[in-house]
Amino acid sequence: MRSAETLNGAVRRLLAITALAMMACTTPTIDAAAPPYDPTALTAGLLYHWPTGRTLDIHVLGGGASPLLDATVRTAASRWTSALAFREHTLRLVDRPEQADILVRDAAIGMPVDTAGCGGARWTESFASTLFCPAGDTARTLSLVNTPGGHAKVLITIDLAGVGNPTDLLPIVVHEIGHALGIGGHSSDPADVMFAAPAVPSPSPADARTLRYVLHRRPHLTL
Amino acid sequence: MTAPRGKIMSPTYGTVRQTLKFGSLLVALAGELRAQPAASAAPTAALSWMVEGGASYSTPFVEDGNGVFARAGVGPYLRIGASRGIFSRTRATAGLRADAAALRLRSSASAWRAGTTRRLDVHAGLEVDVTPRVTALAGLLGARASGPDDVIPFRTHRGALWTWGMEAGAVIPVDRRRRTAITVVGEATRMAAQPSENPRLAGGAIGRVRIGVRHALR
Repeated sequence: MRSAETLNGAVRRLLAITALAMMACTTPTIDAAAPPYDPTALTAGLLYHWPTGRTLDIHVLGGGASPLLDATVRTAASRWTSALAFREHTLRLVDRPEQADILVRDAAIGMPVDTAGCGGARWTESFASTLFCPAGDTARTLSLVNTPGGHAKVLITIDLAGVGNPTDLLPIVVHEIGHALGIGGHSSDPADVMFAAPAVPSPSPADARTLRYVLHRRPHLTL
Repeated sequence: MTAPRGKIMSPTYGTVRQTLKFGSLLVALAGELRAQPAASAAPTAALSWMVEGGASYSTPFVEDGNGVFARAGVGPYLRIGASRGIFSRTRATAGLRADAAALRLRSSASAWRAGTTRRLDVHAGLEVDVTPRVTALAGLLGARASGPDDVIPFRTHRGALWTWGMEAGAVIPVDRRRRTAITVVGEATRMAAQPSENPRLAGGAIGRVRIGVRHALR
C-alpha cells in the first residue's frame, strides 16, 4: 500500500514538473546582432535578395574554355552555401545559360546579355563587376543575346587577364557572389571577403552574419 | 547608415495557447490522481506489448533573433512498447519511438524546407488509471535527433544531437476490452547550448505534442 502511494506521488510530481517545463519552455535562441557592416551602403539603403529557400543556379559562360574560372566559381558557390546557417540558398553550377539565375563571364567574352536601358545597380571593383537591372520591386530578366529563353537576373564579369595571379581569383569571385546574393555594401575589415579589395578566400563570420541579416529582412527589391 | 537591430520575437500565440491547454490538462489529471484511493499492492498483469502510431508537432528548434524559426513540421511517429502491471491501477512502461518530419524554416520574408529531421527515443515511465476512462502517464526519455548537417542546430556532431526530456499525457481507451486507446502526450526536451558554433546558440527547451492510437498486442 505504501509503495503504491509513493508511486502515485512520483507520478504526480512528474506531471507537475513536465507541466512546468512545458510552460517555461524557452526556445533555443540565437541572439539578434546588427550586421558588422552596412549591407546597403552601395545601394542607398535599398535591400535586395533572392527569394529565401531557393536554389540558385550559376552558369559560367565559356567555362569550358576557362576551366580555372569554372572551378573557382564552383568553389566560391560552395563557400557561400557553407556559410549560411539555415540553408537559405543552395548554390549550384548548371550547364546551360538559359537555366541560370546568375551568369558569370570572363570580360574577354562579348557581352552575353542585353543590358540596354539598364540603369541598374553595378558594383565595379578592380578586375570584376556585378550587375542587375532594377524594375520596380524586382529586377529585369537579362535577355541572352545568342540564346532564346533564360531567366538570369545577375551578371558577374571577371577580368581574368587583369587578375593575373590565379590565387587572387577566388577572393574576387567569392566577393562578387556576395554582391549577387544581397550584400550591397563593403566591409572596412580586410579579414572579410566583402572588403573592397578582397584578399581572403572565404566568407568570414562577419560576412555570414551580414548576409544572414540581409536574407531575413523583407527586401525592397526581390531578385 | 547603421542598420536596425534585429528583435527576438516572443513565442507565438499558438504555441503559448497549446502549452497552457496542455498544462491545464496535466493539472486536472494530477487532481484526479490525488482524489483516487491508493491502489492495492498486488501486481495485476503480465508483460504486455503494444504498438502506437500517430502524428507529432513541435515548438521551434531554434529562434534566430533575425526572425528565423526552424521547427519540425507535423510528422508521423511509431512506437513499440511494453508495460507490466505493478499495482492494481499502475503499470510500468518502456519503449522505443521513432519519428520523422520535414524541417521547416520561416522568416519575415518567406518560408522554406531544409530536408528532414528524425528522432529515435528510448523512454520509460508509469501509467496510472485515474478514472475508469482515463489513464495518466508520465515518464522520462532520452533521444537522438538528427537533421541536415548544414542547418543549425544540426551543424554540430555531423547532424546528430542527444537530448533528454520528460513526457506526460493521457490514454483514453476507445473499445470495451481496452486494447485500443487514443493517446495525447506532451513532452519537453532539453537542447544543450552550442557555444562554439557560429552563430552561437543558447540552450533551451523544445515542446512537442503527440496524438496517436495505441493497440495492445496481448
